[in-house]
Amino acid sequence: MLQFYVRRVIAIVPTLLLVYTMVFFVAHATPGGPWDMLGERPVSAQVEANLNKKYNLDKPLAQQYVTYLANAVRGDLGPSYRNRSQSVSDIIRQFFPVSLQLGAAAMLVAVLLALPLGGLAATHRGTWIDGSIVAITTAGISLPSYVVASVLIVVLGVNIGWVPTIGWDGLFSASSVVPIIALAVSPLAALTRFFRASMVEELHRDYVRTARSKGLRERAVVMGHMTRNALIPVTTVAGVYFSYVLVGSFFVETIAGIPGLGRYFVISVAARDYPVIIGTSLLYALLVAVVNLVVDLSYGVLDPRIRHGN
Amino acid sequence: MATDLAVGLDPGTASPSRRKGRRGLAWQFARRVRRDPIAVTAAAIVIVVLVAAVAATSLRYSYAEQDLRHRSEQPSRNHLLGTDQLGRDVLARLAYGARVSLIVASAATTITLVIGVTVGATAGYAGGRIDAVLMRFVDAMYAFPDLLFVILVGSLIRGKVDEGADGLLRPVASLDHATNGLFPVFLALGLTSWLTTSRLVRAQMLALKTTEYVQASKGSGATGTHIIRRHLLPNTIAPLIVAGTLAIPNAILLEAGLSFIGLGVQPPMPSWGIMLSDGVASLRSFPHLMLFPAIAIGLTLLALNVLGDALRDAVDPLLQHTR
Repeated sequence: MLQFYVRRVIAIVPTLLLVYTMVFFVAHATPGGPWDMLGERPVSAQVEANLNKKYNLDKPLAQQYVTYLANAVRGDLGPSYRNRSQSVSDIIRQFFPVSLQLGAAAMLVAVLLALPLGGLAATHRGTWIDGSIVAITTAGISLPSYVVASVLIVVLGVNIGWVPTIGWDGLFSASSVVPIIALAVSPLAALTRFFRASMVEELHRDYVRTARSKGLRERAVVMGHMTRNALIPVTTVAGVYFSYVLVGSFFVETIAGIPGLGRYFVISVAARDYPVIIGTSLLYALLVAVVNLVVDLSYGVLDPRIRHGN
Repeated sequence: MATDLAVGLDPGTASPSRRKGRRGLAWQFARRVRRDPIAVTAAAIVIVVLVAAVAATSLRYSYAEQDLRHRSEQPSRNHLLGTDQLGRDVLARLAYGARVSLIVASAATTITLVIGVTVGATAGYAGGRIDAVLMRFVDAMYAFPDLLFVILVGSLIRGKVDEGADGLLRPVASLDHATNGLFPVFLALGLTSWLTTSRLVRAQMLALKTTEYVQASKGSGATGTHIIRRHLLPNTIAPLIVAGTLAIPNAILLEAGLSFIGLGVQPPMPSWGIMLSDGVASLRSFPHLMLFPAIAIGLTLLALNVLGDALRDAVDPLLQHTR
């Protein structure tokens, strides 16, 4: 079993290498350079040459590739070209926590609502309760976060005036209401549907009949027996959506004016800020890989059959 | 729409028995839609969007026509949905945006299916080392944050085309010109969304490879390509239709999103995403400018998803029991 974990952790390395390679060459192949939009006027050829020299951009691409990789392995992701007083690590430290807090809060809201809703729909299958929950989740899956955020800002921000329309004063303030709801809608809808489908599958299992026939109350059957089994497939989906929410938050961050890493990434691509582009992509890829790993490991916790070998 | 999909995906070598099965699928889908009032509404919405996309250029106003004396007007008899910040007719822009969305979605879905089927079929049929290499690559790409990749690839192609392409890139540039600058958008979307399709096709190939009729065909000397095209792919059509219906709303969603942050469709060409972001910019004074594109995106995606569900149920009889 330990061997399995170790292999899974090691398998992250080639993934990161592939991501690095692709991002590196795609970013460098994109026309335009990091100094094109440095100031009001175009920089002179001499200044550009000096800057290129300072940041090794005059070296052959292959050499830059190796140098950056060697530094990155030691944890040095380089300086930002656009904002040269800051290193990429500083930027990640400054902007990523905001995205992470938002994403985690949105996922928490989604999971806490999806489980009771999905369970309710499954246990009342075919009734109006089930019908309306399924209808609402279909709508929820269809609504992109940027539409939800825009509408909420108009309704809650402009018309009613409960929340600020733009800006960020931390997670525990009115300014986080709109982004959290906007990010939570699609994972909430998807998780509700998956949990419902998963619970419906458990409904007719033998162990459920056994539990009922020995006189357990319905509540105990649903909560104690079915939920635990139905959670296993849902964990995967939750993991996938957590990565989606983290990576996809730049729409919402852009609309609501939130200083998160997603918004910063979009700006960096436009500015050809290579180290920030590469560093951010590596961070997201690592995050996705770690989330997938945690999901795989959680199977063992949730399902003892998987834990013991096979 | 179902017939279109089925015909489009058919390799064109239909035997009598398969033709019958195809008609059955379309018929089942139509019956399923007719029975369900929600699906009927969804079909009506999709038809409205299609009509709008086709009629976009024959409306009273063009999408780029500015009337600076009538800026940001509320809906009126002259402009049914009002005018935007530059006095352009919102209805005309929404209709043209529908055309943009549909072009991008169908092109991106085609690219997705072509790459996904090629990779999946090769991996599944060849097996062994080829399969291992291709699937490790797909695994690694799964960990790649696809939105980031879309942004990167989109800006790469956009930049190359703007720079003035020569040599190898000339066909890209002419394609871009022919599609009014939409090429980077759908290429970026297509290049990032084929992973699931390739896995689906591979799984189906693996399951079918060992069946008796494939073995028999192999035994009588059929080549690999022949077996894949005549026996394996036709049997993969059902999951492919499902993958295709999932890919269309997804591409529309991403196109609008990319355009929203300024990396997709370039102005003055309208896109629902651009209209939405323009609307957000002036939402304090003119909330209606944001509301109409938001409704257009939301309703279209909702309708496509509802129809996709109906199609999936018609395609996959197993699923019908769990619903």
